[in-house]
Amino acid sequence: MSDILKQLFESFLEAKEINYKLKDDVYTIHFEKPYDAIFGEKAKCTFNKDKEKDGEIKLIGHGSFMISKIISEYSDKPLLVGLKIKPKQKGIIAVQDKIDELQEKEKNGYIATYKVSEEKIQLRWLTVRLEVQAALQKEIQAMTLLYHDSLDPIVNKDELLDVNYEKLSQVKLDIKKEITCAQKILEKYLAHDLKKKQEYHAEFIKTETKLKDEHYQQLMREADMIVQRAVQKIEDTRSAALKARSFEKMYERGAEKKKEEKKLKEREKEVVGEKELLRKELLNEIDQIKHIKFKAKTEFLSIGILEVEMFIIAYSNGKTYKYIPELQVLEKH
Amino acid sequence: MEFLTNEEGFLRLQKDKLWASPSEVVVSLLANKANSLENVKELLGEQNYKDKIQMLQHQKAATLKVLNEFTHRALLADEVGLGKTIEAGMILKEYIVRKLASKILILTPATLTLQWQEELRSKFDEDFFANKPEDWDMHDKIIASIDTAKTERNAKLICSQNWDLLVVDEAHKLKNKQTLNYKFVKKIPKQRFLMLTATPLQNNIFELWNMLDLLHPGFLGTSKQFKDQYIRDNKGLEVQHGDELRKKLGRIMIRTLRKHTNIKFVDRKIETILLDYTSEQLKWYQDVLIFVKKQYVSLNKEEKKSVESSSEDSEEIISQVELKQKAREYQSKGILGFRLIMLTRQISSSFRTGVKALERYSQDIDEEMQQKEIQNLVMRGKQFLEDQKTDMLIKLIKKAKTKVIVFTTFLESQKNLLIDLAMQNISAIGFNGTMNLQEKEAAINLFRNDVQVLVCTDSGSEGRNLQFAYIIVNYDLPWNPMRVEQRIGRVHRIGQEHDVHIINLAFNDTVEAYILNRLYEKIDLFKTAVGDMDTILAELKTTKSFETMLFESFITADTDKEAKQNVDKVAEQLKDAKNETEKIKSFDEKIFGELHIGDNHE
Repeated sequence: MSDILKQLFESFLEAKEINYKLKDDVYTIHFEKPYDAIFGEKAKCTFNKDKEKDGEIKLIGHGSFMISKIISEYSDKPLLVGLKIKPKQKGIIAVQDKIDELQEKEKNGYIATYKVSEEKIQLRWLTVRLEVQAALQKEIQAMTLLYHDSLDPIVNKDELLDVNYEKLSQVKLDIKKEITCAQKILEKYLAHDLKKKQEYHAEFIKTETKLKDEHYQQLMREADMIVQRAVQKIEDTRSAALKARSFEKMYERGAEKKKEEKKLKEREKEVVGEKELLRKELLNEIDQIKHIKFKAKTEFLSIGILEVEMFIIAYSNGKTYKYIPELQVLEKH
Repeated sequence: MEFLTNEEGFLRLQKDKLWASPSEVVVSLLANKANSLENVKELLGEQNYKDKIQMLQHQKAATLKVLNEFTHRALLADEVGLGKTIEAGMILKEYIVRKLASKILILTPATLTLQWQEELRSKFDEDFFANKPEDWDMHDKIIASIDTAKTERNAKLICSQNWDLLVVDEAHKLKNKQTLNYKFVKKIPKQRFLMLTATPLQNNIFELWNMLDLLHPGFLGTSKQFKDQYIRDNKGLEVQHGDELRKKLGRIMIRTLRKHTNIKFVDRKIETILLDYTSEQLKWYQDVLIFVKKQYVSLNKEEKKSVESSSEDSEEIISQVELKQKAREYQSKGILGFRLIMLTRQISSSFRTGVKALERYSQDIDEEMQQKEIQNLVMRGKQFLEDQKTDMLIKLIKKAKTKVIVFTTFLESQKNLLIDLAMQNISAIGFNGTMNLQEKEAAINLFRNDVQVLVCTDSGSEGRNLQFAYIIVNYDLPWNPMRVEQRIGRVHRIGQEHDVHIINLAFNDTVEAYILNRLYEKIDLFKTAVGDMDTILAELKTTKSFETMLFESFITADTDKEAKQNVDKVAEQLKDAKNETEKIKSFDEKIFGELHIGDNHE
């Protein structure tokens, strides 16, 4: 991760044309406007813990002010992209290794012949922040999608960090159209994943509701049992009174029964009251759970065009491969 | 799916021909990659706190586990002294840095709200609002006592908002489904939820089910299913299918025990030195106490003053926030009431500090007779040339021949001590809450490398690790046991290799001596294990601060005997709370001893 941070830091300094020197892992930086106001005019910093010196050389890394500032500035900043990738190797040399590799796969005991053609294509560039909010989770992730009519979407390619870019001199971009198109592509691309997440969310709500419902039933049964027991007890006292041998005993047991009945009626009232309260509470909980909404939100962070060289390798057996060496993308058609 | 397309922004960029440069595009790609939460291997917030805390392996492991493996719901149940609050702070910071949480609510017992606020501020650079509920809706990050939060009015406000993160400390108090606290926490809309307790088990294992069902509803099934599957007896004291239960709990609960960490915990050696006043000094001390008592009784509403008008005192206690809280507590007696407590403590600290405090107090008194009385006390106080406490301190320091941290509550005492030590050719440096960050760093470095004595106030020392020293002198004594614990905690912490020596200085026949002899010794305060004091104080059933309870014990008593009896009552309460904690610990040990949830970290 700290390699990414180093790369991020240096790319930031270069992007902003900030003057810096790197010697023995220590960056000596002269900030100019507007960054001098944020980071100070001069700064010495390092990613290497051993080089840190109190008050002199600041250790930077995840969570440090400088890095956090850069991350938050760039992860929220909308960018319009119009770039092309400058190939490291030109023509057939760029694709030779891949052809050798494919030859092994395609020859199947006979010599496979093929034709290679080269074309420049303009991939659509889209970076979005995806925020998914479900019953128990909130996920935020950024993704960069490259798409083109003739290819499957290319997602989060690490190779994008290692290529040489050039600015495209002429970019024609109908922003409104691009956005509409990007929305469709994104919806299609995320559909499966979001469906799975939504199912998990729905399943959770279903299970939760079921569990609550079971809990509710269980409590109701328990309450019913208490009432039943009370009724039984009254009945027992009544029959005991009726079976009494003497009038006095009968009278005594009758009074006892009345007393018991009164006590049990009160208990019954209590239980019914508790039951009602629990019922309300649980129904409220069930209602709350049912109303937890699944939400997916995407925020467009950058759109544009990336021009790349694509090779089409067409085999005599009818199979065709599309290959973009700089991004290590290979698609069979 | 909702789309925020930022169309206008892009159109504007196009109109202004502001196409991103290649390097800007790369920076943006890298920034997004660095900010991603997928499979967290490094803690983005670490840079913020790595110098302020000694992060332990089990804490980092727990944090990563909660972020990667749990469903953002966790019961942090490490044994006392292993830094659960730090763990919670690390998780919280990570959520903040990664922009996953901005609305955060922390619920704690009333005795711990300020401690949480201080810890988050001093260790994690996070400012939480811990004040008036009326202002809660103006803040996104709030610490509140659960009792304040659950009142009808406040609960309504809290439950009407969606919290990205809810943290509940001392979560064992949510062991009963029928309580208002339980029902209230259940109702709070929350995305992420952390519960903290050192004692997840108290009376029976059903209570654990209650807590976990609140944390992650349905996770352990219904109570009946849980009972049928895992409990052997009706009382919930014996478990069955322990392996299966352990696995299940390991997916929602972090439980590290000391024995699993190989952390060395050293002993505490306590020495209390009680000095004698001369007869004049004792008479003076008693006369000041009588004056304080008279003042306290005569205070009425007309004499109320606002908190802001007494800024002198604010430097001497823990923070502005605490000052405001104390002042609220003393609203019925006004800020003067609060200053009387401080005065009682200041005269115990030293004569010079006491005299200065009396002088300041006299500025707020208009009545002529009272003015005269104070002037008389001031005059008499100024005549004492002998300072037995400071003399003893100097002797101790000379004898120690190693680094010594001297704690005092008051800036005035600190100032005088630094002068006294300098006159004795003892190298010493001060450390207090009025210093800025650089000054504090410089002072600690000097103490670490060159200077023998650090004279420290409570507010200055918060959150600092000073375990390279192991002798502490309490020049005066905090009236709040948590402060005592915090002082000791600066050196008696993980990483300390020597036994810690704690020397208490006090005068016989003073309030401090009562507190030392009858209260702190009764609960064996100075020997209480690291972190235990939080649990004990949280068990204490009171809405008042400890300082207030003590002050009232003295001030409301008509005789010395009654005062002692009152302090004894406070001591009994504290002792009961301690016993309760001990009882809980042994049940916990019995069940978790069988379950070994701590194996998760091995």
